[in-house]
Amino acid sequence: MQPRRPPGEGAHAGAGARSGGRVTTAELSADGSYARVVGSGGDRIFGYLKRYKWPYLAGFVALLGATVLALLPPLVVNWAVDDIDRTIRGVGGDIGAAGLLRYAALIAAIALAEGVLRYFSRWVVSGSSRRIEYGLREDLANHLLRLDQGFYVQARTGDLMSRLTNDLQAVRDFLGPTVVDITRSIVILVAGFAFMWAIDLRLTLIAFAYLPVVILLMAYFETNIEKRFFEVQDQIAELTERSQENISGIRAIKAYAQEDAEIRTFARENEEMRRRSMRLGKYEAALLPSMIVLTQGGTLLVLWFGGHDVVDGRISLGDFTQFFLILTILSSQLMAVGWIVASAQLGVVAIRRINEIFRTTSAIADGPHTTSHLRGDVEFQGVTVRFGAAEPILRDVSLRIAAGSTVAIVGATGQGKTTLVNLVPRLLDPVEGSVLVDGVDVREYRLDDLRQQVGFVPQESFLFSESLRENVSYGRQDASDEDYQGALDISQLSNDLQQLTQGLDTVIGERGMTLSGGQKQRAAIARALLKDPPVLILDDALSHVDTHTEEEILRRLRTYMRGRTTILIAHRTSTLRSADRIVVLEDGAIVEQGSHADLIARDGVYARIYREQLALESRSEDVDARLVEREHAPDTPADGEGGAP
Amino acid sequence: MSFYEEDDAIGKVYDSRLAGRLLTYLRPYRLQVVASLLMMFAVAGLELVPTLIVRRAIDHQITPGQTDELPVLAAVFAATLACIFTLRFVQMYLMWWVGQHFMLDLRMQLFTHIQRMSVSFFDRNPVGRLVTRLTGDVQQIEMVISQGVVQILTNLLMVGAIVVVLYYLNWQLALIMTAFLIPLVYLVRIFAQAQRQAFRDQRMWMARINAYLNELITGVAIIQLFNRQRRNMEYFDQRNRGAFDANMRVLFWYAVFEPTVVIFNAVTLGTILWVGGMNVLDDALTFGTLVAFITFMQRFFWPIRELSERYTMIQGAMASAERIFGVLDEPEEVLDEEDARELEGVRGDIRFDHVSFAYNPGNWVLKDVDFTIPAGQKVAIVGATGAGKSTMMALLSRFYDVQQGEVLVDGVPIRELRQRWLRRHVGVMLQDPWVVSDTVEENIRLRDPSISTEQIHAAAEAVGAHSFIERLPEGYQTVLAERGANLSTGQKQLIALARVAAFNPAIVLVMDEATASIDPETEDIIQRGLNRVMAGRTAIIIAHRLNTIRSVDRIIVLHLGEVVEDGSHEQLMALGGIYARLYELQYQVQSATS
Repeated sequence: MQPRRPPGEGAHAGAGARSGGRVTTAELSADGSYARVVGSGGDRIFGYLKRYKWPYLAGFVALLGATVLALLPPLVVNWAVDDIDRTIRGVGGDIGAAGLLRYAALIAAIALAEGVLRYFSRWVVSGSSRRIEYGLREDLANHLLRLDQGFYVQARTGDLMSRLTNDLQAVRDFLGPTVVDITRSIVILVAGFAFMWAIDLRLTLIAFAYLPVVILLMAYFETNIEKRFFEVQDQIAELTERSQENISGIRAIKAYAQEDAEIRTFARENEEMRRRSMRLGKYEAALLPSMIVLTQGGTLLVLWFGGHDVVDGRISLGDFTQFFLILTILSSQLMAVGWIVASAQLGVVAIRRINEIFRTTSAIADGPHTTSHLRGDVEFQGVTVRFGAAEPILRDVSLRIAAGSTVAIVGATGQGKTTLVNLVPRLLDPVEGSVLVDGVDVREYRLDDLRQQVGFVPQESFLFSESLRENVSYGRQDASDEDYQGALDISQLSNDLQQLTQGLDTVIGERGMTLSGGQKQRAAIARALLKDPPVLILDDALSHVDTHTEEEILRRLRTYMRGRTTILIAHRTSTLRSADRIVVLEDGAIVEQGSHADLIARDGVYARIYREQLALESRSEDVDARLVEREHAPDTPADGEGGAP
Repeated sequence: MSFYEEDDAIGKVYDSRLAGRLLTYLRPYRLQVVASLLMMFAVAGLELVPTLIVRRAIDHQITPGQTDELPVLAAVFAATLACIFTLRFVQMYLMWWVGQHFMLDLRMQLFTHIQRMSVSFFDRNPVGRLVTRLTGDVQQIEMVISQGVVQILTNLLMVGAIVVVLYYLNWQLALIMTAFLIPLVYLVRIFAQAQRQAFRDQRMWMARINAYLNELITGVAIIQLFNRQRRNMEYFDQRNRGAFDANMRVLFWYAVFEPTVVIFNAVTLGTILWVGGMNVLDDALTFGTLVAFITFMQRFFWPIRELSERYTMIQGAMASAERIFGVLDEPEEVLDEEDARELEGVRGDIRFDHVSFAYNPGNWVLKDVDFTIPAGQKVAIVGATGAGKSTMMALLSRFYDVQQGEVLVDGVPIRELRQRWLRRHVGVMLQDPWVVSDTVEENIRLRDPSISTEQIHAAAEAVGAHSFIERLPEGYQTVLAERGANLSTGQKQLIALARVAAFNPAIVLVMDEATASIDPETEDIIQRGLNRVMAGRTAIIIAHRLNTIRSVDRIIVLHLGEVVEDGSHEQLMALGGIYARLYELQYQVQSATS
């Protein structure tokens, strides 16, 4: 029933272009534009079209041939009918079975040629569009992997994914079936006009006066259906979100006996869904009947005017038949006009959205300086960081960390601690000032070399859905068993291995869901340690680890840290005391620094933070953290998801 | 990811049990359905008329060279078109309407059923799966009702009508045309099968690409830090390549199918022209009939090609129906008894009478737990993860039924109480505060209309949440983002506390896990709010804060599902058992760290 979409080739037969290639209205960043969309040099899609220009050209030539051939059988029918007519009337014709068979064979031969050309053009053109899709997806993913954190701060995952899937599919459909259909429509119109004109101009003009009616009506339907379809889609999204929210909170709902209130809310949304669907239904229900009436209307026109023409002797009976058949072909092709327009619009928008990504360049460029080992002298020189026109996150921070020393960075949330450490492996570059490692500006180093020398444990411990072993050895595949054991030991991950069914070979679910927060953090620590880096950065890396284990990890880390530069972001008092030096950040600037004892003696910001933290710890210490089987046996299935009361 | 999951299972196209059950949902709308079916018959007949008119015009008007009857024929033609349009429109609109109501009913039934399920059901069924049942699966069936079935039936009826007319017009030619049907059906089946397989592969690979892409984007910082762009791109390429190959297979079958149909059509047309032409020469057939045959031929093949597309749709809908009924057939495990009752008021006495409980038979989580808590007492439960603390709490809300023993409130076994009544009087503060994307106010009252705005404000005031809520852009009317993303963890906990206070239960259960990264100030507010909520109520708290434990009246120590110690802080310290050891260790750590 969805004739707009020629069935088959698209991803979802039936659902059509609309659901497949829906262009999300949401833009990549909140204000609808990228931070750094540079110039117009990134039109990758045009580049691909150039690369595939020969297949496309060949495909279009074949398509042209196939389309013209498709209009020939009516002509053969014309000849046959006229021959029969003349034979019957006995006016200069004598066709027999053999003659008729020749005509039949001719029709079959034409169709064979048309079929071959059609197959060829479809395979070549749509095949190229799929190659382009493949190439673009590869390029996009590659490009995304090189963009800096400044980009990812603004971008939303869902939107990026939709660009790499839905938008790419829309582009593919545009470069494949849609351009084929556009070309076909044009050729059919032109060739059809020519064939009809050859019969009779007056009749042709009448028919062509009728065709715009078909196009306009179909376009009318397409726009109206499109609009209401999106309204329905929005409501489906709403229902999905409601269900999601309801089911993930079912324990709270049950705990408060609010099932009925939930059912009422859901019923409202459900009813809204029905209302919107019914608005769409009016147009959907009228679409097919309209198409039938339109096609038949053309027949009626030919019957009326053409009938008179035959009777008046202006055209022959064969001409009449041919005319009739060609008009059928023409109007059925034009039925697709609505769909073609919609798909082309989607395609153009999608191309723009994809090019937007390509035109975003990474602010982090490779430097020329190669190095295989750094001592680990880290120095921040008057560093300022700011995103766009917003207030700076770091202002004029200068700090020198000697190779081999341990520095703890302290401050409340949002004071710029993470931003500061992100500067070292160049996840971010400062707007002003520079970061030096071993006296060389980090921007001078080759990125790979620099990052190879930095072990980084981020706040959010992200693991890949691969085996635990692959995750730990992520930065270094050639580690010896000894190194391996060392990293597992320091991170205390070795304790967890026994309870994982397959030890290190346990595959971690999507984003490491099957591990607890503490286990994930420990795996992330092991991953960083195995790299054996001269510079180690721990960004609040022990927040989900219980105090006892934290103590254990810190004790072992002390040995490991010897000879390495370590930067710690931490809250817990024990961690703080273990640092050589403490740096206090407030509002993007360093307000205090010195040893723990010095700062306590000074009785300033740090002393206050330390006291508060101490008070907090005395209250929130995990009583049961002391028990031996801590974290080992899962309590209830609900536990850990924070579910059961 | 769910893409390998059972969701992709393929259903049978026709399963009488499922179909029968689906039909029961159509019963309320049988009038509409019957009307729609009747119109379908009318349409199938009417749609033959235009072609027959053309035939008559050719034979009786054009060939003999007359035009007197032409205006009448044209008028009838136009009238027929008007009828077809009206009938088709009304019929499709009706079925659309029925489909929508069907969807509304089924989704509501499913949602209501899900709300009634016990917690163990949700332990077994991941959120995503249930959401799919409520959305995609319901939609799939609706689509078949409002679009699929009707189209198929109309098409089949029309093919039938055409066959009848063709035999009436000229049986020899009709015989030849029907003979062509057999290879066509065969061809369509082969292609449909190949295409379905290719589509399935395509969907599977796209799901894999999506899953991996999600990982790449969320983990991009790690990839960059560990210089693993190339390696990860290799993995991505495997999936991209897989999708491409599947794509090309889909394309191949389509590219082959189209020309095959073209050639098939042409051969049929040629045959009609040849055989029919000879008949015309022999005067056994008129021109009009010949043209009618050619026209009918087009209408004849088209429905069969459509059938193969609908096939996939119906198949999917049957699988969806099976999955939906699977959920609907799940019995409620925790049921209200026939004579379940409500108490006049609740004092708040709690008793665990030799309770044993297991999630899975034989694997006891609680073993012969026996204690009494008098109304108004505050009790801390202490024990390791896995000791059965949260299970105990869940049993008090009757999320699960105990296997042995009895849980009693005010001396009445909770099995005898109405569940929803019980839960209204047992307030639970969950460890991970749940918020919905609605206003703060609705989040506190959980959309319960019986709680007034004043009560909400009072509750928020009492737990110390008022001041932060007032500071929100629109105060109590501020709409929270999905999962409360615009609030801090501490603020969400305060809202959860206000919720407990607003519902004013006689018994309060608190899951009080230590939360990392909450600033000291908020911690303090939460702590005070917690004390306010517990005041004057029976309170059981899974405690992690030492000062909370010191402030309760009594401590119950759970170890491996058994109550091993029970008494006040001083008593347990004097006892010198597990609790004393825990406390001492704790104390050591703290004095050592200070």
